[in-house]
Amino acid sequence: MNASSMLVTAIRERAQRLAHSCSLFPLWPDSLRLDVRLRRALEKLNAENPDAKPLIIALLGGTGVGKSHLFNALLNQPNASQISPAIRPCTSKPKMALSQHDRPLLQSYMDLSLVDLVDARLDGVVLVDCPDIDSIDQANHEKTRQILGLADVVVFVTDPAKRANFEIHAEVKDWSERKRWYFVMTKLDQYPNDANAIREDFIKRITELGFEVDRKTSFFVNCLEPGRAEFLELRQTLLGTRSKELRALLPLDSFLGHMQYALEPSAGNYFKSQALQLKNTEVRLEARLQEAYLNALAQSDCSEALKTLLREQVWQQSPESVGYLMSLPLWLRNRLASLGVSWSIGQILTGKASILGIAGIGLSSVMSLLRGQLPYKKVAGALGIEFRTKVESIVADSKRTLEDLQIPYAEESEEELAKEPKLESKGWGLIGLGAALEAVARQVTRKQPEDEILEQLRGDIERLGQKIAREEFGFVTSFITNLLPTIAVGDILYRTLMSWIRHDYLPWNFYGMASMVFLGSLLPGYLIISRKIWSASTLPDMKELVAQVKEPGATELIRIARKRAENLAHEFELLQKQVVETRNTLASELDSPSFGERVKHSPKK
Amino acid sequence: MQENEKQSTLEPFCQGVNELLVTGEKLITSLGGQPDLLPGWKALKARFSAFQMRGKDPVLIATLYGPSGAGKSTLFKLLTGVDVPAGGAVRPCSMACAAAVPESLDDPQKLAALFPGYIAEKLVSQTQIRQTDGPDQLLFATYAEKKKQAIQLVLVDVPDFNTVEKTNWDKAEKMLERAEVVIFMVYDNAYSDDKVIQELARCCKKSASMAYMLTMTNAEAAKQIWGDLVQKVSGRFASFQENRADGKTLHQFLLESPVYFSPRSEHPSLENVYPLNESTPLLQSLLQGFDAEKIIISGLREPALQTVVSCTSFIENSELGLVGMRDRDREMRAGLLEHAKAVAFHEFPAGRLVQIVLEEARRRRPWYLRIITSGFEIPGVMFKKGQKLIDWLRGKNDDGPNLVNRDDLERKRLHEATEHMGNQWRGNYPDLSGTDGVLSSANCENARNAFTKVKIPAAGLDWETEVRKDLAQWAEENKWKCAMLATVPELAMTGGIALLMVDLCTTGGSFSVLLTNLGIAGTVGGVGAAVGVGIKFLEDYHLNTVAENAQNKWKTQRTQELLIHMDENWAAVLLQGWRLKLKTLIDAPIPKFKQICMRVQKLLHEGKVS
Repeated sequence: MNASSMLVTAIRERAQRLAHSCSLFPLWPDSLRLDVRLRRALEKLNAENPDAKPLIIALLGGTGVGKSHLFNALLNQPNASQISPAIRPCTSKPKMALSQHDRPLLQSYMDLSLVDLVDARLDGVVLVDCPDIDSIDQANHEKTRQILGLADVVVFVTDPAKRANFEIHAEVKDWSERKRWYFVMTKLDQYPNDANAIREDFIKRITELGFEVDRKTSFFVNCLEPGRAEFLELRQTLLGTRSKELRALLPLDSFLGHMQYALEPSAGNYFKSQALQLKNTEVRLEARLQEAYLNALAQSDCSEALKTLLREQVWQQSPESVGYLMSLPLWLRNRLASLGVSWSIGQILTGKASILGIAGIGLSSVMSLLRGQLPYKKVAGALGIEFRTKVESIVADSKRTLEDLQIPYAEESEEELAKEPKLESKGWGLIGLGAALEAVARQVTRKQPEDEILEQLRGDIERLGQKIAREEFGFVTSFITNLLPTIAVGDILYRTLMSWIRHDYLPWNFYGMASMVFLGSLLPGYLIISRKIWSASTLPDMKELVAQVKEPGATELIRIARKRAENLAHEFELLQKQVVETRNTLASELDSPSFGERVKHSPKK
Repeated sequence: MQENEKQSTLEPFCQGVNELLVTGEKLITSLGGQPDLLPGWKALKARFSAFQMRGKDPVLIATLYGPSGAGKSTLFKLLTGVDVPAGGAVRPCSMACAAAVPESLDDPQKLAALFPGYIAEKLVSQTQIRQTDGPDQLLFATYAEKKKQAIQLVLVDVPDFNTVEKTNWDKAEKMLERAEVVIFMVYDNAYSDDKVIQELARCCKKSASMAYMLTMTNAEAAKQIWGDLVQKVSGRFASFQENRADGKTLHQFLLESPVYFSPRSEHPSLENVYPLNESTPLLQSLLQGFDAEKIIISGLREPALQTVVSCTSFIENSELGLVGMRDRDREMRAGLLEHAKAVAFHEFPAGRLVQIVLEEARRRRPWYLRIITSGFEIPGVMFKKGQKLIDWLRGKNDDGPNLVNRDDLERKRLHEATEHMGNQWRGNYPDLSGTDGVLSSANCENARNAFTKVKIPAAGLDWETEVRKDLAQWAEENKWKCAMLATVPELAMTGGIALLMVDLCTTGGSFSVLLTNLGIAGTVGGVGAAVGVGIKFLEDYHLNTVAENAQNKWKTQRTQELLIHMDENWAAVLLQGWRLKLKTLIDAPIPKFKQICMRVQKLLHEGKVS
């Protein structure tokens, strides 16, 4: 019992997860149905108490096949359920036969006013004669379905004439996973010539419904002769006593049956196909985004800006590569350059020139000066208005696709609005300044579609810059450029040292002159380096660069939906597998004549 | 004489039905309907076609119709002697239609004319009937006529309509459309089955003559069952209260049909088929005693009435749909206009207006002023040249900052307008969106792609011409102001104060782009500011009226241009299928078809068809 309850817990958890996945797609009929059925199965499992309830067996069949005859004969009470020779349908309220002992036990489980009660000497078993399911009396069908919902075991009763009727088979098919079954054919004696052929044909039809019947669960009886061996066997099978241990397994089996019913293969296929469709759209939209990037990056402005960036990157690397004394002027140049570039970016971003605006730009320039950042934002600006339009249209298309596929999505603009700080909440004195600074900060920090490509760009340009710097500034460059300053410094140091040793102190203006000489000696090297940098800078392969952009924001909505749908399909498959496996394991215990047959295959189309 | 009269009453009816079928087929298909799905249509088509092909001796088609296990094939065997599989061993027993024909019709071609849409094939062995083939298959065998028969009767045995073999349902129903006489067979336990009662109603509606036969029951039970059935269908079933073409309700028709019963028997025979009422003739005599001509025409009347009714209601629905579609079309066009206006209003080329004003003013400038100002003009031009030189030295070859110009803005605004409209329509007309709808995301994408590929038409020159006319008048009235205006820009240039104005004058207003690199919010502000500056400048010279007129003219003209552009290159692509449907609906000869329907209906109501 412990093991089985752990099993139930595992399946229950998985089912709850699946139900949650379903609720993310509330507009799909398949997912809604699955959700409802899963929850119902879970509720039913919670409500069931195996010890307290007798086994409910219901008789199901078309009008006139002899359900009431069978009911009466099984109970050995000729008038328990009314019988008519001609008028159909005859039974319109379910008849329930049970012992006095079981009555109170059942009362807590179901509304007994649904049925007419018949006293019978039964032990732990309740037999119900249901109204038909194929006559013009629709109310009868409903009553029958109510009883079927409560029953554990269903006896499908038919006669040779109605054995292949569509509507009855459809009803059996609908309940097949959720119940355990017996099959009874009556009136076979009326066709003495064809009895064997009819028998075979009937078995074939049941097999088509997905069952594997044998002699222990299918019966051919004549209700008018209840003394014959076949009938006695049927009575013994249906109404005989059952092992209590095995009875305790029934709720689990029924739960698994309900699960199987909920997990229709068609729903699984539907989820898979939707996920695939989303995947295709995502791939297509991503390709469009990449194309937009490539087109935008190929524009002359943009490649100009990229070249500038690359040069700047080589500059940044140069102090390290060249080293020694030459690194000093190079470092200084880099810091100054950042300041200028940042200033111009700031101007582009804020647009208007106000005192506060300028202060903001100044602040960010100083910040970037301190951090030595490069003007990647400039590239973003150069990507252009057309690029923005393309990205917007990709977002619009993904939203429309989701709408068409009836998948709800979150409007991200609303979230963004919620994030916008409210100006009113600031202290009055700081309103202007605070708002302006925030506006600047927002302009700088707001994530734009091009930011993704910028991140890629940054990494690539940095790597490329390092590579170029290493190649261009080898030992020779380092030697040549540092030669002159080293000689100058050496000479100055020598003279200074010597003067100290001789105590013949040099005049103060010597140091001024020496500094000038030193700076002058740096100039040739600086010019060599800057020439090298101007002549060498090839851009990275844009195609490769763009391909590296992973999970772009423009296709985020569709990606989320795709992941959810894939998850739904996956969870569905896992649960389906587990349910079938578990039910098969249980089968070795339960698949005995005393609990009837269960459906084993999906019904034939 | 009598023959002639008959002809004359039938002639207009046949003509009407012919027109109804021919016109209707085309019309209904073009409106997206399927004529075959309209109640009555298939039956009328099949029976009318056979009627037109009829020879000298009329042939009556009777079918055995009923649920699985009612004994159709057994009775067929008894009535015709044709050996078909019968009995309960396999259920369903028949999987194909089997016809027993008189010897004179032992010819597949004759039968093909008699059963339009079927392929007749000689029945050789029982297995043919057990095989599953398409619904067009008709297996036939001749039956020996015991004595010279009064009429030529073809009896058809059809598969059931209620087992799990769903393909059988179509075969049975198809034959029901053709046969004029139906023997509805049912066994005791199935008479109140839902499906059986539904099919009974269908038979009452379609057939010209019907017999009801209960099998496997005795006289007493048969009486009870018949009483119960009549009572069941009298009240509860609305479908049995419908009227037939002959004015009877289906319920009445059922009551007037002869009823037979036969008990269960190991050795079935025709002697065991009894009429429930003593006054009813025996089944064999009933089948032989029909007035074939009358029944055949009655068999045409029933589906003709149904067809007329269903066609009329189909057409009325289409007309209603047309009204709805026209409203929608109006709404959509109004939306297009509104958006075209919005774009045109925002993108007023103030710079171009100022340029025109200056051009006109300069053209009218007195010669002496030209000499005076040329002194100022030269440094201005030099300044401009110098600026270019500096740019060239800096390696900048392009004329200005590479920012957005007015055309790009207009394109972006148009793009936004179409996107907005698409979303609006998708919200307003949910029936047109969805994966297969005309407003589906794929279609929206296609339309956008097509739209972006087309160049926006340049603004026509009409408004400029108008403006120049206005300016001529203004120049007449304000000679000095005109002279001043022509001179100011040069003066301003030398001062270097209003470089902005220079830019405005020389580039046609691209100065507005200075502020527009910031996305669309900036764009609107930028253009607004540009218009503001332009208008202020014009106000100073009492040019407000001219400017206002110019703006109005621009708006009207550009709105029209953009409307046509959006309609032809975007809406037409997006709404292609829908507009086509609307056009088909408008062009469809609906009134003519309605007239035909009314004519046939009138003939039927007046009872002239006999």
